[in-house]
Amino acid sequence: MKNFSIKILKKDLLIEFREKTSIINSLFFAFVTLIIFNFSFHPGSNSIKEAVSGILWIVIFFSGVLILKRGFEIEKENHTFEALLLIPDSHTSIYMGKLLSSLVILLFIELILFPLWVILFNVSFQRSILFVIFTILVVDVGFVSLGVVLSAISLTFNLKDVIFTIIFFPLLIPLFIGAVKLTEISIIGGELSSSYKWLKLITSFDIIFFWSGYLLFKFITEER
Amino acid sequence: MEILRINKLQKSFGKNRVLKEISFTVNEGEFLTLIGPNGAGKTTLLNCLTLNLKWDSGDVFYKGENLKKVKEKFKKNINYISHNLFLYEQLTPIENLLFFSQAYNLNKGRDEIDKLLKRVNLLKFKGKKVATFSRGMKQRLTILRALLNNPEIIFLDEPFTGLDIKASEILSSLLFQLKKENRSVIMITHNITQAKNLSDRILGLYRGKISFQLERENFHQLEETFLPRVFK
Repeated sequence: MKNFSIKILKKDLLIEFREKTSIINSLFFAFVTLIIFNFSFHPGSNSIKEAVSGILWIVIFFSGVLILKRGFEIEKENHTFEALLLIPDSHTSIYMGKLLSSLVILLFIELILFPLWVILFNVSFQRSILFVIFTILVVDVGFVSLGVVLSAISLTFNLKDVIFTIIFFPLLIPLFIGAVKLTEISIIGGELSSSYKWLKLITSFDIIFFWSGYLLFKFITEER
Repeated sequence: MEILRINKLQKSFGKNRVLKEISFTVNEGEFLTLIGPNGAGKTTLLNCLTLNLKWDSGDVFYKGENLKKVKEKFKKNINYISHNLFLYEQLTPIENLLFFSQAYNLNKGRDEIDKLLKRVNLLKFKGKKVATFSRGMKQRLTILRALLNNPEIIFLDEPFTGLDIKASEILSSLLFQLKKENRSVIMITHNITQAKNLSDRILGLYRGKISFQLERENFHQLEETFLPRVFK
């Protein structure tokens, strides 16, 4: 099973880095959004400090959605999802493979947009920069876990894109509120105890949606 | 020997009953063709048998065992060729075949894949993306994909769709090869000539029911007596 997940990861990365569809879409979206926000604030103003963490997470949110949608679009375009499901004991491997490939592509995008965000908004950190990097990692896990399951539901039941948006976006609100608050604490500073509160929210989200995806993926994709 | 037994299979989509108490058997090494007009339920039946769709009632037995209890064992021994190709167009033939062979834990080497590609005259295109292939080339490649796990039963859903005469001939000879290898084949087609050439038995499906079953020795009656029953 583990082996097949890695094969799916490699195959998805090979296709993505060959075609660069979601990478280019996400990077251009992120770049343009950061530039527009950068011109919306006066340099050195206080409001920029309050808004800067929200800007980072808006960009990650929408870039991530583009990546997640592309993950299953590859299977839809090629009608290969049925072929994957025809492989014995493949359901959990498909979930893990898709989760890993979306995560790697999202991290690759973040690797480019994070320094860009720091430079454009002249972000300085009250806490270690590693705290923000850790926040990005834990938020990505929850984001991708939920996104992969909902993309699979969307593909299995042939749902319209709007259904994906209506279900996915509201469910992500607690995760991204936690993300914004943790980033804010590392930029503006604040009580360490309040960071634990937000961190608990994010890790609970991760655990709930990773395990429900892992355990339910088989039933979701079989139920047609 | 009987490899599949389908017993009173029923499937509905909402209020629309697509399959109505379908029963038939498939023997080992038998080439069985399903014909019928659009909307007769052929593809739904094939999707149920390949576990892509859940049926509402009835049973399917694989070598005497209830299919619902031996799903994973069954999956190991079947494969499916549809008019949808189930190939990654962004990858080369080698990359596609390596991926699917690894998916079945077969880990075939590049040399072995080269031999397979040579068998269907695709070796010289092994480095090209599948997206650049003609329909016929893709269909030949998809047959290789479907044979990777050495399946006992192969399901074919309108494999001749979109093929020109030459590509159809190549596909026919590949299907004859499957027959020689004593694999069981269940094929849906609108191509009556190919159905008569390849099949041991033809089943006519009309409005979700089996309208007739015809053995090879009676195929001469197909056009005059039996086809009008399903293509009304």
